[in-house]
Amino acid sequence: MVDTEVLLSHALERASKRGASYSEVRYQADTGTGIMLKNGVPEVASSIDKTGIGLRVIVGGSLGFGATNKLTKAGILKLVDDAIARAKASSPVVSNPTHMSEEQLGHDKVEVKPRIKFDNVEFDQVVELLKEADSASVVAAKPKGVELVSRMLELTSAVTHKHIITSDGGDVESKIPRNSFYYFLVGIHPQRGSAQRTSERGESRGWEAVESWDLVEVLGREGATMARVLAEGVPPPKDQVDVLAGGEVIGLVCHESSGHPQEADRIMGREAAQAGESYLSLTSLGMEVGSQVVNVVDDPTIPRSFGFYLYDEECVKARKRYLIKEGRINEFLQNRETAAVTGTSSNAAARATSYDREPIIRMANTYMEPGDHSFDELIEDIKHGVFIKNFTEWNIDDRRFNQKYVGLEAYSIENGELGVPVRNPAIEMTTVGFFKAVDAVGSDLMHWAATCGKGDPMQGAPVWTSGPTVRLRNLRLGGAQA
Amino acid sequence: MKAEDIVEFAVKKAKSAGATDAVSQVKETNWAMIRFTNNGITVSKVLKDTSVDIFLFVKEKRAGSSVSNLSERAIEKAVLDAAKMARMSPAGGTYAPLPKGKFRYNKKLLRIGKVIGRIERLPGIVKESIDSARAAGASRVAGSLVAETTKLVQRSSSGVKGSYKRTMYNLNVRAFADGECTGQFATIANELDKINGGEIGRMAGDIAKRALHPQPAQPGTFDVVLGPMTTADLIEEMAGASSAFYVDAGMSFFTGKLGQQVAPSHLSLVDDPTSPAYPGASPFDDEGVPTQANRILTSGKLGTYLHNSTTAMKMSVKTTASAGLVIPRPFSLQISAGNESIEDLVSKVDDGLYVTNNWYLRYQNMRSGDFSTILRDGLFKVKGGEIVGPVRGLRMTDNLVRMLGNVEATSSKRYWIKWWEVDTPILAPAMVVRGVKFTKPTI
Repeated sequence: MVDTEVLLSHALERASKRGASYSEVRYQADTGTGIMLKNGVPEVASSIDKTGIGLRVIVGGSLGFGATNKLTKAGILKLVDDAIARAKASSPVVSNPTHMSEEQLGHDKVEVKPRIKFDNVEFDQVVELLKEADSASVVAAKPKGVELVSRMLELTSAVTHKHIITSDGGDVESKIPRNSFYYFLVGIHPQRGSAQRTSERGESRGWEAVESWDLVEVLGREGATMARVLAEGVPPPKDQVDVLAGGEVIGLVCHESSGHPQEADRIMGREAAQAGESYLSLTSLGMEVGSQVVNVVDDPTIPRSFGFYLYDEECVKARKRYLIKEGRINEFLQNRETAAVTGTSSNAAARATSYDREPIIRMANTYMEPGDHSFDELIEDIKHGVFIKNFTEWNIDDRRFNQKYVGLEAYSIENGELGVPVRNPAIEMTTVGFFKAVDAVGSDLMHWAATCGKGDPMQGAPVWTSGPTVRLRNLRLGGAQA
Repeated sequence: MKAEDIVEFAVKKAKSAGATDAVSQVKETNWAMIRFTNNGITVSKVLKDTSVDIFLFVKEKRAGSSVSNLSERAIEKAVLDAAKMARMSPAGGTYAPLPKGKFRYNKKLLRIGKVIGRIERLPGIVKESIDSARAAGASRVAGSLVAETTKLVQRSSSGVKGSYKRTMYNLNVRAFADGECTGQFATIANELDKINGGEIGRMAGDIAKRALHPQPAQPGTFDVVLGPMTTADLIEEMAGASSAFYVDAGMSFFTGKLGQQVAPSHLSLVDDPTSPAYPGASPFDDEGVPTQANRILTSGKLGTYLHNSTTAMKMSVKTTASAGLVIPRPFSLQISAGNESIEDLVSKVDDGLYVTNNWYLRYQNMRSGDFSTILRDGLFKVKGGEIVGPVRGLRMTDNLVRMLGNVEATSSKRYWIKWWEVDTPILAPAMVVRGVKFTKPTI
């Protein structure tokens, strides 16, 4: 049996001996099980055990990262030597030396204990649940003449165990279980074409999370909704309208248009060749980007959340972060690398999705803070509008300014009342245009899970994208392709 | 244990655990990456890794395990876990036994590319690309350079016995003339000598410089010239849609179109991993079947879907050696070249756009091919067959099937492309597409 604590210590000692001014070593074990159901038939079941060590060193201002799953003393020492050698070889081409900000680092153990371990759930019970949910969607779509020709359901259960130590005193061990459920549906109406829907649930707890999601009810509702949209949906209005955006749409908007552009590494250009930069600069703090009722938060510390953690990969204690406060840019997401440049403190945004990935700035659980309006209060004074409850397609430019969200479940609003389904209403607008159009925020905060992509190599990080129903005034919708 | 011993052990254990079929792969990876930003290197990465994959059938019931702990005990546990999951899965799918070996593989594919003994040359190539992009007019340069050597060893219960080594180098450069005026280009090759950092940097820098002082673009429907980067992204989507898994799942816009004319007769698309000169080349697929050139589009007709044994049996055809044990996929794509230069292609457009790059392609509907993607980096207005100046702020909002049918011409010069948005190496030309729809934000 390998003593990982001893290996981690050996790595730090070696890095120090070889001249590293900073080093950080992370043992990470990701274990999990998944099952995929394709059109009602189990396609494949899978298990994964991905365990290894990743480390970072700074030598003369040059940053090196190394990773291996050869968990022997010789393997780890060789990795340290290689990472230092690569960092030294690159140093003549380093233009901005890397430093780490000084922080109060954690010495702690964090463990989330599942009430029901996935291992204790009978495998055929999992399959039966998925089959029942799949069947519910098919049955619910039929009465409107819609066939769900493509249905992909995936349920995943995983546990992430990390132990991180840093050369300046950080030492944090954590064990966090995560369960998630993803679905993809395509429905076809013989005369009115097809539509597509994907969504995800996820939480940091045990099987009890899956039980709480009521997947049969969720899929049944999705099937019925898609059928109604396909069979009865009308094109979106072409004139100016007010829009009620559902929490699922708002959660995604907050993630894409507030979280990403407020990642300090993007602002500084570190992701410039891949995920891009930002419409904001380091001097944008205080800039007005939305109406006064807009408050956007990212908070890793929410119990049960999909993006939950209490310390980041640099051993900095996590806290709630106000990204936008009363419509103004309030705070960037920072790690120790960017905080050293800005002369501020890290707010614990460094995350890595596996041992072979470098910690970079990531969101955790991003949401618009709820207001005090009920749904009835939000809708009652809309004379002419559209309620876009959820979405089917979206994208955004790499400066996070020009974005598009196409609704799946949507309804007309006339004189304060919900009306007929609307097909493919597209919100295509700028970040500032969107947030400034918000005039009221609902109290009904809801959560959805997502896997956020960033980094090179790519890292898919578990996050929540959450929001209440929100009212926007005077928009023009596009994208009708019914 | 050595890689060869691990795969033998895993397959043997799977059979004794009740598997009707089993295949195991060990992949040893030696990988280095340099990332650069703001004209300097930001991080140098190294990975030394070995992973073991086991995939087994209990007739039609299938399960896989992936494990990074190479001890006998851990591998045995992974096999037993997979066997248990497969046994407990309900029946109902298709059972296609793994293809029977022993196969003979192309010896030229057993050692693909050239490993450089020392990778100290990488920072120099990065510097060269930064310097040439700046010389071309960029003020800031970012990107990544990857060197990867992989050894893959495979065994199956049906007699497959194969191994190969492959080396690949991948350079991606993005140049900034200012915050919004950017240019990007990328390349991939099996030999480091074929990665021309100076040339890729110059191309990115040149696009960025020409993109300076853009005017707001107007939405509408235009004829376009798509540069090789955008062609690569859109064609990769089409190759993905030819995977029989997605066709069978009803998720592909090529469903029901086999044998049909889906593109003009001058256009062909082949997935060809059979030459050691091609990035992505491989002697065999994940079922151990010797690879072959698969003509996805032949003279504009959809010639084949990409199959593994299971999808092939479902559709009563032979495997195309494209496994993916669950999802068949392409290895190394090539789009047919035309006879004209990129300048000649631009001269065919009276009133339109020249698109150099895009990202964030998402489907409104994978089944129909309705999608949109954001245009990024240099975007240029074309008038009277000439580029008249840079524009910005558009989204391509169209249908991939319709666009494929409207490809009018491809350039004679093609480029090997792979970057963040394009996973499969593609030899891509520029192409002219008629009547493409573009939208922009309303507020």
